[in-house]
Amino acid sequence: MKKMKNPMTAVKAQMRKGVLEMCILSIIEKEEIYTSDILKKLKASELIVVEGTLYPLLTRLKNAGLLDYNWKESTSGPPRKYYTITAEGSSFLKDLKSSWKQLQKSVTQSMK
Amino acid sequence: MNGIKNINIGGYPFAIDMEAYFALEDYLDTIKVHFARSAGYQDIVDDIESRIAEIFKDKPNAMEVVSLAQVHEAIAIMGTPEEFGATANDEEDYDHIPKSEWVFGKKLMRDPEEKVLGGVCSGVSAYFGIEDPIWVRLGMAGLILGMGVGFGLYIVLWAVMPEAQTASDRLAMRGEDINVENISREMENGFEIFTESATKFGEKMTAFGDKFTNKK
Repeated sequence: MKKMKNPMTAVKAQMRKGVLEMCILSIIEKEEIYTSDILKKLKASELIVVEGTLYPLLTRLKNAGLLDYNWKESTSGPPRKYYTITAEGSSFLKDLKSSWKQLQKSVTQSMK
Repeated sequence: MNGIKNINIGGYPFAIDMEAYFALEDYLDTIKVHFARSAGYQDIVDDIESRIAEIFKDKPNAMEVVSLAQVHEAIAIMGTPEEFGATANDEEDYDHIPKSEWVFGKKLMRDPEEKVLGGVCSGVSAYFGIEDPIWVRLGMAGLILGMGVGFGLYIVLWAVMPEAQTASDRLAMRGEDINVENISREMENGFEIFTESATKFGEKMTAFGDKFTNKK
């Protein structure tokens, strides 16, 4: 079952992709959090459509030393990953946020 | 009439309908192929499997057998690799693993759809890319008749080679790429073969029945 490819979908997806990692870092910086809760927040703000998008990004951020995780035991099943942001991740996020603010300013300016 | 399998998804035990099991395995295979070149391959695949287990467990009837409908639902929630929003080519900052170290390759498996006895010869010829299994069969027959060696060899191969059951198994048996297109094609062929066997069986039974009615 193939979906009709709309070129605008690709453009929108590209836009989301650019900010997604920043939002993920920002969510995790607020508090230690389980993957399933990260997904809830991302879906609530409509940043992701399918859950599969999250996992390669989480792994990449972790391998870059920006995130870390602990295994937390669960009474109702196998242990789950509990993510935290690292010091490096925090400072990287700060950079990203100021980049983003700059970008917002530029876009608003160019649309005047 | 389907069987039920007891399996482990992401470290958690489940009873799953056979049909559902094959669909789930095929889906996980496309995921694995999609991330095969990524350095974080194992982590990503494990995480996705754990999440699927969570999705199944979150259902109110968590004690029951996982059905095909549930698998389709989980796939819709997780998304197909195309929907993830990043193709394998996009991921430039993933360390690239050379193809020789990829997880998949050709597997030596028995072919249950092309078999005379155990599917051993057809599996071997699929592995070597020989179109018609007859040559391997002749070779095997020669070995058996000639020195009796072939007989033991056949039994060993039969025991050791796993049967190619799922669509992705059949692709691996022939060394073809495991992707969504090939799997859909294989699944369609699978159903055709099943209906063919069912029709042949029906014809045999009818012929058998006819014999008796005619003799009266």
